[in-house]
Amino acid sequence: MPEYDFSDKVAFVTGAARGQGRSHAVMYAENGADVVVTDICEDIDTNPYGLGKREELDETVSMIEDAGQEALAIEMDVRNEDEVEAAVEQAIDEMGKIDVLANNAGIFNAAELTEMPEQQWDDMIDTNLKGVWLCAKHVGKHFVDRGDGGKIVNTSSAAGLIASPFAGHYVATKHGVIGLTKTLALELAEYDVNVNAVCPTGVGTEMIAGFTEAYGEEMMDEMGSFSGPWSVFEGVDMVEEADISEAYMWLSSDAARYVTGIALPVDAGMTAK
Amino acid sequence: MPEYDFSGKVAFVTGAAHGQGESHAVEYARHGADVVALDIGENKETVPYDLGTDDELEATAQAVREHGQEALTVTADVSDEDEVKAAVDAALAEFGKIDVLANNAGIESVAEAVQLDEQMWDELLDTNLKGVWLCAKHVGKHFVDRGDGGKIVNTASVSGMTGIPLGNAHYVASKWGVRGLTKTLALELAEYDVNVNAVAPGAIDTPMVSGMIEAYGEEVLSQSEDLGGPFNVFPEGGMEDAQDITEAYMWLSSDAARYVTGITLPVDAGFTSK
Repeated sequence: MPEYDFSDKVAFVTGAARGQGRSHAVMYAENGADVVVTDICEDIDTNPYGLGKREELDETVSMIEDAGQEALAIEMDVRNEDEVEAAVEQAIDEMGKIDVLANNAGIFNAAELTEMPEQQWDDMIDTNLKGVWLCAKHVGKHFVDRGDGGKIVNTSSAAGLIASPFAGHYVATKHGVIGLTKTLALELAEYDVNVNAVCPTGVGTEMIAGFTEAYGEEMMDEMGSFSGPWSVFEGVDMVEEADISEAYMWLSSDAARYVTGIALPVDAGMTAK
Repeated sequence: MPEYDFSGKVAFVTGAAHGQGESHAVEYARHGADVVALDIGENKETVPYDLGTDDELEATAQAVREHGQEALTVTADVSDEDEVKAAVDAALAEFGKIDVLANNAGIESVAEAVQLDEQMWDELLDTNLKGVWLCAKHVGKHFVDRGDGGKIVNTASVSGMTGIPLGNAHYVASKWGVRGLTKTLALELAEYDVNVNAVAPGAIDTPMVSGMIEAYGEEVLSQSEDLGGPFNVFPEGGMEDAQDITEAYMWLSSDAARYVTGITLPVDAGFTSK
């Protein structure tokens, strides 16, 4: 795998208790960065499987320290502006600065749009879209203030490029993340900040396992009957967290200095159809 | 910049005499690959600037060798199937295999769509679109035969994502076509473990672009910016370097991108972010 030089950099990773977020946090550390890791550390009522736990966030911290880097864990609900602002302040106090925002925190659940309760819609939009904006707002303000560039990488989805039935609120948020990414890229370019999105296909994480357990294989099959397979590679159903992390690393590096406002699919060909 | 390990690999780079192709060829060598460097070695009637010469191609080969890697130069026109097939055969005879196809060769010219004469359309489409398919066909056949995966990276353009620039309908059509071709190739070759992706450059400081400016004037770029906003949204402005495109080529040619296929990766300093 390519090696990057993130020594003396500080990465701020949301949703880092497990899954893709943990993978990004550890990979930043393996490439020399210190890492601030955040997670909600509690469940959301309308999401039918448990979210990341405090013990898991602490385990992510251990993994970063095993890689020889500093870690700071903060419980933070991306939907709550006060918590986001406080977390960013604490990160800057303790780490001195932030160089990269890995805007990864997100949830995934299902309902038909004509049946969906308002609370389920709101929780999804507030986490997956508003949360991405809030973190970008407060880390972005820091980037503007310190005047030394910065990188923001947002997790969209293949569902930000195409649609899947039964998760219209999720599709809306992931499409929205791409729009937000482009506008942030334009607004922050004058401060030498790059803003990009990564669009994963299904990734073998607790989120997907939780979704499948909550709704059953039939739901997955029905969604798949519309959008086709999640991967065009034989024997590969889903990609791994590390595949998404590799894209995060590249977009966080100087190799991608003139890459901004893009949506980069890491989707095993899902959106090639 | 990230370090890659392409030791033991062979990269086949079209349009390698100068510009982006030269940059890719040399960078593959820097990361340990041997390189087949291909270019046309002559001009085209409807293209108002000089194309890659044999001398330039030899200079690229020298730069490859300076990194301690082997280089094979091939003079061929990517729009000619016999020449493409012969080039791939020569590469296989020399190196035994190809691991990566850098499908970079391309041309540009200007005429309004209702004025465009057939020869200008044909030369451009045959190079920029048919040439990409022909190289993918013959290198792809090798990938299928040898059964050990492979990587194809095609050069699309921001002009494959917008309608800009004007007076370039044939170029725009060819680059949109490259993106479609990229997706279908990705789907067809996935069962052989071959990744196929495209890179979409913005305005890059290369002989093709300076040749276009010399032939048609600065308006050829500024007109695009009047319509589509700046080519570079960053404060320093200006064109990107070939190296910026090369970095994307390297990433897409690596195992870091093992499950990236059928995509277009814009390296365009924010041009298509608007």
